[in-house]
Amino acid sequence: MGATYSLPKTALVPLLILWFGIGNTMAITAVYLSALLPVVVHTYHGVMATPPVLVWSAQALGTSARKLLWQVFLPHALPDVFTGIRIALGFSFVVALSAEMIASTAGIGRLIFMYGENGSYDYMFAAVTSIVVVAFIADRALLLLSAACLRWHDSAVAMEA
Amino acid sequence: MILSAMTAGAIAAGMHRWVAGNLRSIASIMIILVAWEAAAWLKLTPPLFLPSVAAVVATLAEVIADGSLPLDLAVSLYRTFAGLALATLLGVALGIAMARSALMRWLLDPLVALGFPAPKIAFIPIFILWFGIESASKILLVAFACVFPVVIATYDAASSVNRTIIWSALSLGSSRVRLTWRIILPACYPRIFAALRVAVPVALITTFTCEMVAGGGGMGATLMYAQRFFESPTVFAYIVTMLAVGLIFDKAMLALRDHFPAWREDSGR
Repeated sequence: MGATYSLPKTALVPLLILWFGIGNTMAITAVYLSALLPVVVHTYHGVMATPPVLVWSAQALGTSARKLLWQVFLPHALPDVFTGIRIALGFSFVVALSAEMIASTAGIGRLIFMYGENGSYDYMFAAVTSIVVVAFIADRALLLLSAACLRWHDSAVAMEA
Repeated sequence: MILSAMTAGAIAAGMHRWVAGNLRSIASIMIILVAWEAAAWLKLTPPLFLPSVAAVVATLAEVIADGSLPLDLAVSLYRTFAGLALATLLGVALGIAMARSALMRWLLDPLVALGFPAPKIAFIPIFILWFGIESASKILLVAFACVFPVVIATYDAASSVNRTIIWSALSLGSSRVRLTWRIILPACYPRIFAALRVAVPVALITTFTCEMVAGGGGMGATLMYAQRFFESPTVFAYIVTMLAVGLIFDKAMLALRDHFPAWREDSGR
């Protein structure tokens, strides 16, 4: 796991083209691989950082192992999970776009490159601007979602105060 | 002779310690390698899709021996680190400026907020249009991709420097320039370094992706070239090299941090 963290996932695109051909399967697999790791790593750290006191208290009160997972470990890891998802979101855009730029028949990455090759630079700038806006909105939407899911968390209380 | 034997002994001891420390990592990598070789050996897939480990290692040795891989690697690393150096200089300067001046903050904050989540790779055609197909466009795109984490970390660190220290320096007659160089910048070192640790893989990824998309030499360009000619062992050899490079630089950053205690996140707190 640690070894592949610093591997540029876009390097896998040629391999995925070989395995899946050009198209959605290839692009989605590339995005999946790049988005998986940050979520796994951050969730792992969040769960590992659960204070033993919380676990002991829950166990002393008779919580089963499954309930412990859902009601102690997961809620505690949730802020980290959202951090992981936010990083993964950034990666996803990059990988989806580069997969489309390298080999694809459709998609905004392909479009940007096509405009660039045809010399219709005004269209190219419009396409780049739109992807910047979309990425910004997606990032903000995720922040809102995580704020809504973490209303009970200390960080939200600190923000309101 | 004795000296070389001693260094050999030291290296062997170091290797031994390293192996002992990383035994589990090595085991998991070995399992993957064995599974890979087994899958290739049992011919579960055509060798085009999954060449055997032996074939990949042979290709790796071949491309290293004929100098093509070292050359590609040198080109890619030059782009990566030139871009990273630019991003560091610019990012630290902008970050401190944003923390110290309300005007700069007002000017740059929306740009950083908009630029940080943007997929920088989308700008490749624009950078090619402006700076050509050679190294310049790639270096500048790497700088563009890496500057945001550095700006944000420096800004955060510089605006949370202990007030008492700043007041003490000012009351002892430090000029603003001296304050920036002697107080604020050193106080930012740990955060800047943490941001650089994030930026190194980003720089590598951006360089490789740029080369894959736009060509113009380097690891990514050769990788795409090999893929187009269905030279799977070469594709795998280059991917393994990229993986190793990313890993080595991450380890190197950690070693660097341990060498300069002032760069640690917990120093001076």
